[in-house]
Amino acid sequence: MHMRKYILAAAVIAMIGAITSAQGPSQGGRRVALGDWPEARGPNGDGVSKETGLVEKWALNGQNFLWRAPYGGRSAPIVMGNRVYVQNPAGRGPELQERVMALDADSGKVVWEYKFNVFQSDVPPHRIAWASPAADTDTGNIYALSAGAQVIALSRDGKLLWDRSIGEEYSAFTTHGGRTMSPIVDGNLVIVTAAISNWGTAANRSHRFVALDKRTGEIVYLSNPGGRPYDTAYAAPMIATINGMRLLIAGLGDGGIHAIKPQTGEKVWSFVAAKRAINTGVVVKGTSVIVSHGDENLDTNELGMIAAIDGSQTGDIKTTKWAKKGDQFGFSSPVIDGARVYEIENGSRLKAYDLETGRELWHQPLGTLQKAPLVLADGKLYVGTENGKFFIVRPSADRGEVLSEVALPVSTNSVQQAEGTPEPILAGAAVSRGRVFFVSSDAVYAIGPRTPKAVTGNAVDQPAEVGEGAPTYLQVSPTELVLKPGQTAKLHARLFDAKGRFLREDPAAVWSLQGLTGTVDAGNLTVAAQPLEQAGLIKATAGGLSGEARARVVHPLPWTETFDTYADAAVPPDWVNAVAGKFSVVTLDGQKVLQKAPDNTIFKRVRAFIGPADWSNYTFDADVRSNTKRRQMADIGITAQRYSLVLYGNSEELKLEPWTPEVQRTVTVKFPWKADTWYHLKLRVENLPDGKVRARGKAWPTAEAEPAQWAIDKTDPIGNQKGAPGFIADAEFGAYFDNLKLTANQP
Amino acid sequence: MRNFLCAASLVLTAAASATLVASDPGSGDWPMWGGTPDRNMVSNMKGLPTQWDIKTKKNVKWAADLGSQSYGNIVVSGGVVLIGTNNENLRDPKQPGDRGVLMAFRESNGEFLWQHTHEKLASGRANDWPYQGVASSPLVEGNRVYYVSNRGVLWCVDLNGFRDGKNEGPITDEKLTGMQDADLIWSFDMMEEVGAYPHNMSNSSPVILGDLVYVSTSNGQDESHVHIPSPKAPTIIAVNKNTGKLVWEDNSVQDRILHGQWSTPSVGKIGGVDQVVSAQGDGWVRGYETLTGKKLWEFDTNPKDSVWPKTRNETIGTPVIYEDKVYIANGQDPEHGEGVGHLYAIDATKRGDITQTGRVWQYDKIRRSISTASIADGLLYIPDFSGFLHCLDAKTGQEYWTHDTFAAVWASTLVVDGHVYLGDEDGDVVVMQAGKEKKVIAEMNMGSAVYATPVPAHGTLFMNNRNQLFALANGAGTK
Repeated sequence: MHMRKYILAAAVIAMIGAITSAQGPSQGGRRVALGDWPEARGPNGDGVSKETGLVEKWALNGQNFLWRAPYGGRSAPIVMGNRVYVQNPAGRGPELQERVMALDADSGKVVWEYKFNVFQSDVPPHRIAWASPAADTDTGNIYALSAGAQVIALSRDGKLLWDRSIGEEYSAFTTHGGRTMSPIVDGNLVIVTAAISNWGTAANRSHRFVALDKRTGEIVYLSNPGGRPYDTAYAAPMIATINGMRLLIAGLGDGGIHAIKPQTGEKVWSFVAAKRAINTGVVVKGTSVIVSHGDENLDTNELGMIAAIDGSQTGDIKTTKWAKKGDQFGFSSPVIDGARVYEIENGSRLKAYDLETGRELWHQPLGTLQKAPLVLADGKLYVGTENGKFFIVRPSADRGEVLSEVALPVSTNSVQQAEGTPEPILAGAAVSRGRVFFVSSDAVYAIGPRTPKAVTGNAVDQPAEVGEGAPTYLQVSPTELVLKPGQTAKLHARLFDAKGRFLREDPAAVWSLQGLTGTVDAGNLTVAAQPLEQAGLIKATAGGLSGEARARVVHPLPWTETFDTYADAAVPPDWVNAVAGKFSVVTLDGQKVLQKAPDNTIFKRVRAFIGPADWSNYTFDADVRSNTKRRQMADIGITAQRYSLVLYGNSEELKLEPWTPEVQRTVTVKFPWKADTWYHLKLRVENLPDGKVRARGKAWPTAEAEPAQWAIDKTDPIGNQKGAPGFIADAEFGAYFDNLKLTANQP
Repeated sequence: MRNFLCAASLVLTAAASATLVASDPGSGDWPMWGGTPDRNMVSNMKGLPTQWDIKTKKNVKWAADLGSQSYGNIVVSGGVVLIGTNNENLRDPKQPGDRGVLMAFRESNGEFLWQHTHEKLASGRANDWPYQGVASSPLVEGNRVYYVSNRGVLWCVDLNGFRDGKNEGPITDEKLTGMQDADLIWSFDMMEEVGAYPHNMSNSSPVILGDLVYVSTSNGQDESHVHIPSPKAPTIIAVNKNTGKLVWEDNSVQDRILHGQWSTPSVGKIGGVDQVVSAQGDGWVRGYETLTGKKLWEFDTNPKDSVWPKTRNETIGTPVIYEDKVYIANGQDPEHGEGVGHLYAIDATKRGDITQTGRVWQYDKIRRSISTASIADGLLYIPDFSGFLHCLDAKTGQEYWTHDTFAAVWASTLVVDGHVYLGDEDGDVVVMQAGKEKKVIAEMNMGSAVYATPVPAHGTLFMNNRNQLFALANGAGTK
């Protein structure tokens, strides 16, 4: 009985959580050694290095050329000590995975690599690994957000510490665009963002911050400072202190730049800059926050803007200190250089502005297409272009002097989407110990001295934050739980001051349950042991403050659902993305069924997840049915352990697919089928002793007998070892599910 | 098809007597994308400005505000200038929000005449990308305007709106009937009627021969970029221009669409046969008998060993018909960046799969291109997305020169009065001397990206950047 293992594992995880969470938020200061580049935009998240004596010129395989390692990517490298970490695609076709790798900074040789699967994601192979990893400067641990919305924690030696599937737990929306944000580490938190849906009052899709305990992966907060996202987005978040308040600032998919308190997720201010997503990072000097974008402004018919806002305000900021409109700053983040700010617009023109007034000082063309952000170090700008050139520019009051312009080789092994032109550079450079590192479509490059430059001191040395005064915020943590009937969990009520600084845990908090059957006492939660689904809140109050955590309790196996006990328009309370995805119970031909409502919005195609992300070795049966209109039918399927078995209506095919856009992993068989008729899908996934995973599927008209043979039998060499059950539907004109049956595999 | 054949035979008589115009529209107007159905962007006009300054207004006759993004190209006919844009320069508070907009201005003075706005499809980016407006260039014939909206609807509207005092039908129940509203005549919803699932945006620019108007459906992938949700929908349709009824459709591509279908059809007499030529989503170009939709030939613009998306391309530029040959370059969505491209001269008098037999020449020094060729005096001009303008011998494909604009180019060249005009993404318009010798005459900046191609009409050069439309004429404005 494989389920027993799951129960055991869950108990261990719960215990680890109980031990570590009691330590509360980190009380240490933040220190980054000079020479380290722990996040995509450097020690302060602003693209600036304090190092000096850096190269002015280099040549491929010539002067100041250190090494080229053949690992292409689209995200920036980070550097800790003598290791360069990059996130990139690994392998090709049916064995294509995403990867974090550590390279030796002196030689470019691989020290270790950690590969992981992309699953249940719409990001195509050439757009994965969009985010950079982030390093925890306390421990050297490395954190990554995958294309499939997994948060992955690795030791400095490349060993998995924990992972957490935001994609399945909150139905993170990953699109063809592939845009994912690099994580940021603050105290004991690792913070990521994604457009996610959840259940209950958080069922709407919104671009949220997700803060996890960096030691355990427990969810500490979900923060939703903005509005509805127009797109996914990938601006690198940064943390700055403005008038004594530490702020995590990032542009999101709703066109707003938002500031939250990094330890609590409380919103401090928002500035809506555009009618589309923000992909550029901010930079800060004093109270001025430089924001930019490349799309529609709120108030003119000019595209794009660079502006300064006063970041010492609170609430919804509507005014700017200055704003220049008409240049598209859609991708490349700015840097501040004393009294000037530099940024590259989409057409690769480097522009300089007066920081106080926004007056344009000069511009310098670098190419025709720009994605990579600027890095400022030693009085020079280091940046690559999408046209495949790497520039070193010395900026001054009246001009940018091009010191070096090096064309990369013609791409022959791109992980992006074109070969035959010079290797495009899409991400920023990293500066470490006299060297500059950057990534192209085909390789990682290092330029600078053979021997690393000796550097001492710190790039960042911030004292520990000490909370003071009255508490103003109560955080209940972990704040999101997935439990099985009868399971227990330990929750903590933590108090923070007005500046978002941790004060203390409150052992006297009063606890209560809302919508959950079970007990809670002094933060010790036990949910009812009966095998039923439920979802609700765990509330804590203390000194006039209240906070809450959310828990969903998933039905154990075996599990059948005929929807007969649900009223029309209802949806099981703990299903993720079911509300936003417009799933609901309806009566069709006198039977209660689950409908995917006709929908021509972006929600016409959705995934919903109905169980925990760590189930394995189970079989999923369901009946499905499609409507038809405009020569089109639905695509409709079920998911088990990160494999989907999908009936495609328009192509009349049955497919088994772990990752839809990577078609070489998909198994397809012809399957003629009709609209307005029920079909039965059966999907069985099992972990094999050799580490591979076998997934088998078949489909047949529900009115007929089950065929003896499996239609699809895939043994996956890079198998998904666990995963949540769920649905997938692409149904502009509507589709239905009924008679779900989930069972542990019988030998 | 049987139903359509009956209608088609009625059209036959009328069309047989129609003659195709030369590459200059001949009327002083520029009534469609490319000026003429062969889409060759050349003109016999004289005296157009080669220098202007939008800041000092030198040679600027008038300027008009557009939305924030304008991907349609200008057409001029009957004293009216038409262009597709978005609604970010809101002209009617009763029609707010993100919409595609067809705007009409008076040719003589830039006065705003009327507009037709289209709410965005609820499906958003999948079918109707936010803020990209109406991306079709209209076609004007007499007092009728044909274009495709951002909602995948082929519209026929009145060139003069309600200003002619008449509400032309069959549509007579317009909700908006003011002097600045559009007089709608008929519409054909390609999503509803033939199941089209446009990828990102419907953009086809119509072309007419006889009684038939031809458009591409823009049918393509869904947001997964893996699936073709409507593989039974056609790539190209022929609709009766008077009734708005479907006459024929063709779906040779089926489920082999690489991405979208944003190329626009051309019409010309090739080897004595009237053909409609369509570059399609599988990277092939196909020629059809105009009246029946019978496929005459097809040509693959990609090397057999190419792989989408790294080296295999789609076709976005328009095929140009010139002296029995079809000229086309391939490329990709600008979002995909730079890459290798291919340019061909195709002998379209051949039949069947003419990938080998019909290849007159092939030019591989072009990068990915979404532009359309101009052919004048035996020379072919075409830019690529990387910003290089190529001048070749149209007969042999021999290169005479290339010019680097140092900016991405979406636009195409106009050749007029011995000059080649080309705009780029930095907003620069270069004016070069036409001919085998490379010579830059002038370069002017238009203030924001120029994605459109300049248009000559009655001695004035019309040009737009993202958010403004300019009428440029020698001696106009301040000196």
